[in-house]
Amino acid sequence: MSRRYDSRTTLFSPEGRIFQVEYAIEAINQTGASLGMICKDGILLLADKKSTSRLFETRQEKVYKLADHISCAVSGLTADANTLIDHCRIRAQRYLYTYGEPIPVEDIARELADVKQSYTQHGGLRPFGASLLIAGWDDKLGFQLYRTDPSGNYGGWRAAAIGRKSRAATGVLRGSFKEGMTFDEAKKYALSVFARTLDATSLSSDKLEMCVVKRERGEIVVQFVDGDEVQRLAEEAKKERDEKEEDEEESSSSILL
Amino acid sequence: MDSLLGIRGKDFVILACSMQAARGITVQMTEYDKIAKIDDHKMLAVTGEGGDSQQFVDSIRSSLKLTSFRQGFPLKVNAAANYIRTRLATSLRTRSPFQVNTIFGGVDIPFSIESEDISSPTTSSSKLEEKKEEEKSKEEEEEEELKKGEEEKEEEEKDDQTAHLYLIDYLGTLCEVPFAAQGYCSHFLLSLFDRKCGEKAPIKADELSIDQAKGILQTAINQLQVRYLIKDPKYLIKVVTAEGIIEEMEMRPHIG
Repeated sequence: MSRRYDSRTTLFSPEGRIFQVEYAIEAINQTGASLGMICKDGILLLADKKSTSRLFETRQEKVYKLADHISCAVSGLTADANTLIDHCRIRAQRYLYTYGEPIPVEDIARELADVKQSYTQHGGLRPFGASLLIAGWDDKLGFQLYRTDPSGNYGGWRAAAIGRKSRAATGVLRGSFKEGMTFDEAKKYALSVFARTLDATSLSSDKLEMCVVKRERGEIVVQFVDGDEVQRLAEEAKKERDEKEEDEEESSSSILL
Repeated sequence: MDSLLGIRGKDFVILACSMQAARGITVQMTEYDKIAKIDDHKMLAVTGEGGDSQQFVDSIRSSLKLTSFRQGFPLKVNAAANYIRTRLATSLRTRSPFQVNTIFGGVDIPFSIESEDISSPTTSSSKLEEKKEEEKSKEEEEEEELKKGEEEKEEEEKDDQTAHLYLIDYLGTLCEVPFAAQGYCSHFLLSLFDRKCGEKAPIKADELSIDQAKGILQTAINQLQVRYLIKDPKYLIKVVTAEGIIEEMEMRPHIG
């Protein structure tokens, strides 16, 4: 029955839903997780590459630079995300050319959401199966983190998660995210969120990408965190989690006694 | 044939224009305002071929207004100047380019919450989880937080030079200047401005008070009456500061 409304992206079902868009959102929840949070001096992005082959050449595939002052983390179909990223990059440079100043971060988020929205309304096309976390700085609103999804929704966040187990990660963030963390604290915290929500094999530097957006001497820099550092932090996070689990087991067993 | 003048102080810009509208040998209007208000803190003085100048000003004004609605705050003077330049440069490469020369001036105002209106549509085309409600309130909270933080920052890093003046011609040349003259009058006046408020003058342009700047404009207008073939009987002067366009007055040449 529902088949009748599944095949077209632009049709509402009798319950008022657009299934293709919901499926697109679901598709994102199957792919590697990404996490972003606003810290004291900037924004931290952390992403998990779901599966890498040993034969695969290491390269960036989750965190990209959109402009000098904006970077983004992607969950969903990489190919879909690539066209969106291209679009954003062109948009950012065109703005720079026209106005002689860097594009406001929200403009990029809105532009992206507009593109995605149009694919939920024009017939015959599949919605984008990619969600982006956009992190950047502008002189009006400072550091900003936006999340966009295939429906064309976007919103500003202090901390947000997309992709695999994003609902669990959002829950963890809601419970324990603190504002004004330093980068060191935030890096540890981000990895601990991953440690709590993802499986243990995800926590290694060849499966993680980490990036910070910060201000240095008035300039905005997008900096990718070194693999060794990520590895060290990931191992710490793993250890911490294991210790916690042991504690919990002990306490639960003591209750039983 | 039109004369446009401009001086930039530290936190104000004064623009002046001749008030005659002429075509060939006939004077068609004597009360013509060539200085358009782009928004509360930006002015664009235009000379050009007939309707081009009006068309151009209308187009620029609406486009910048649209941008400010979209972004929730007005553009900086520099960004607006670059936009005008881009428009002229694009138009130059069409079959009917805008034949306009302009002086653009304005004052950057500190960003405040009142001037902001981020009312972007947050409606979703698909049904999301119950989380959405929470998301929304979180978004709003965050936006407020961002605004607050930024306000503090803005105060810390206040730039003294808030006023900016640009010469933009029909070829798409953009130049930030302390003083400007557009039209034949520039042949007489640039040297005068340079002597009165240039780099080597006792008082530089950014040290001028509004009254001093007006004094220089009066001298300039007097000089035009002496040396320039076209004797414009009166000029229109507009002053813009952080409070907006605070003054509009006519100025006549005084000789002897």
